[in-house]
Amino acid sequence: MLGKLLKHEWRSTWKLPTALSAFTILMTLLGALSFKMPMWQKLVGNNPSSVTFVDLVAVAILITYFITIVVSAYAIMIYFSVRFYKNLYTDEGYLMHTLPTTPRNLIFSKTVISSFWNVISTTLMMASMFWLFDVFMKTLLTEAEWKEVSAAFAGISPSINEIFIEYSGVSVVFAIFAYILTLLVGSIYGMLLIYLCICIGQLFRKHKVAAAIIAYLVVTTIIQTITSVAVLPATFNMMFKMEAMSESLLIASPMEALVAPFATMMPVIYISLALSAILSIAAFFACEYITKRKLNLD
Amino acid sequence: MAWILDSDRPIYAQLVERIQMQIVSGHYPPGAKLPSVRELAAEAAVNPNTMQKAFSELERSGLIITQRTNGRIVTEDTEMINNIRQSLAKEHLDLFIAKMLELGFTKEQIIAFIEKAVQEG
Amino acid sequence: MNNLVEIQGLVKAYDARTIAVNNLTLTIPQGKIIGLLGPNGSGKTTLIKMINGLLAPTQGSVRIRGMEPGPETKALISYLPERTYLENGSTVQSIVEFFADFYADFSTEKAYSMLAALNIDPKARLKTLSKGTKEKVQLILVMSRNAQLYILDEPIAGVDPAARDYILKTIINNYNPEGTILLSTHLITDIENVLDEVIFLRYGQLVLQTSVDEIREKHGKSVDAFFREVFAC
Repeated sequence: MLGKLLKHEWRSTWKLPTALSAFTILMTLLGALSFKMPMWQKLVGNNPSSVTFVDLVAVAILITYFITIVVSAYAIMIYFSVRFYKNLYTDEGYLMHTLPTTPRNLIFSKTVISSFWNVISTTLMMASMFWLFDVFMKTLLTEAEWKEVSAAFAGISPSINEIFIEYSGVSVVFAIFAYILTLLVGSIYGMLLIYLCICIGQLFRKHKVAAAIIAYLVVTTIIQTITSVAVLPATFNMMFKMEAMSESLLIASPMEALVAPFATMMPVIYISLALSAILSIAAFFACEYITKRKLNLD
Repeated sequence: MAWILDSDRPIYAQLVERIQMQIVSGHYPPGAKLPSVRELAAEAAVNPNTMQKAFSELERSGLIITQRTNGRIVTEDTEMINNIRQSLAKEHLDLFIAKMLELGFTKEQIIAFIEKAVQEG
Repeated sequence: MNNLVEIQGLVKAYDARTIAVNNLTLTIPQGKIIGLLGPNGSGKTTLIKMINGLLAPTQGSVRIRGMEPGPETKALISYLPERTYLENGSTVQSIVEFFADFYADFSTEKAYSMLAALNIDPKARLKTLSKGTKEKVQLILVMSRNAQLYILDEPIAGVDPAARDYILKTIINNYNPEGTILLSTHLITDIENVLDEVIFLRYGQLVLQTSVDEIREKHGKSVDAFFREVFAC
């Protein structure tokens, strides 16, 4: 049954996210192309002259790019939130909830598909920004200058890494992966949280959607508070370390002062990750419980 | 398509009457095979269980015979069919005569009335 | 076991004042076509939802073939609600495939032959069909299953008289001695001849459960006329 639900969910929902992803890729390419336009060359100082129409187009493209990135991320979440609500809690719910399967399967199939797209969307967003930044840098600096900067960076990175490991126990690469993982799990968690609030909204006889929105505000506030409290020890720890560092004479270089704070933030990332994971699972089972025991379609 | 039935009398009784009528009038001649319960129920737009009840009643009276392999057939007993025809006719006749008497006709006037009506077709 | 559905002391209370089903006890036998009748607010829809596992009872029990509502009972029940529950953007064909996929007892040929008989194009998108046609599509899907319990909520209300005849004929033809069809409706006259038994509900309680012919024999009137008498305002 779960396989069939997954298949059906995929078939019903793949079009919009695919289109959005394609559009994001398109905008990224356009954005990259726009860097080749005369305006940027002017900025670099090669051909100073007044602003022309073409320059405005270049700026417009970039603005559109940023809007696309931001909207895409939210659009996918909103799309799957509406899908969840519509398919399970409006008239379509009469079909879905009388299928020979469990509420767990229904919710799980939706979670898997929406998480897939959320992850893709988040990954695309990061990749796009990263790539554009790379292109931007290559535009601003000449080939030779970029090589210089890259080489210089390569030169100091072992020491950056050393400092990082000293203060956090893990390498920079590991930290970056951890951070990316936090973003990805975070997007899944965000989706499940919305699902939960929709389910909570269903507990009310009237104004179910309004109740869901209020639930969302309340729950996110509570969780923010919990998260802040949870990371407090880590934050204090970081502050103490910084304090100790500045009071001691052990600072080897300005670089250490720059890198160390990031390294001491690692526990915060771990805690965020753990919290997102745990809360995701809790939200899932809460959804299942509400659907199983308290279902009341209009 | 659906059979027109009175709404205030039991359905199965009316089905019995209707099928009897069809047999007596030759719509289902002696020995003919009857449609299945479900087919006839669908044609009449009635519940199959009710049609089954009607069939059972007709079987009990001997008008219909159930053969193990062949389904249900009308009896070959033409005398029985004729008897039923006679008694159904008598019922209609009794009702007619009672009504005519109520209208004020005498017995002779009734006979003359019938003769005239039948001659004119 | 001859009882398809057994309901014992069933209660559904939304709050202290709104009691939709009030200590209901009844059994639904197999092999019958049964009318679920009662005025608005009598608890018919609530009862139907509980049998379908769409609503949890406050007290009491609902058992279908001895089982509590769940995936196994949902596989046995073919439900036609009073609303359009299909995804509006899909084609008729994709919905037929959906049903065939999820329900082992679904007959694709039956579905397509019924669609053809009612002149419905399988390639049409649901949103292009009229309300009446959409209802026919749903009914065809429900009746193309070989279920043990069909629950039809107002199956002929929004449909033209010719289609109504077709639908009643389909219901009769789908009759199966091991299964039961439960019809909830206001249009009693149209379906009386098709019913074996009727269940009268009022204020969430059982008023009467008896056969159509018994009402006619005992009271000398149609179920429709009798209903009006029982539920006169």
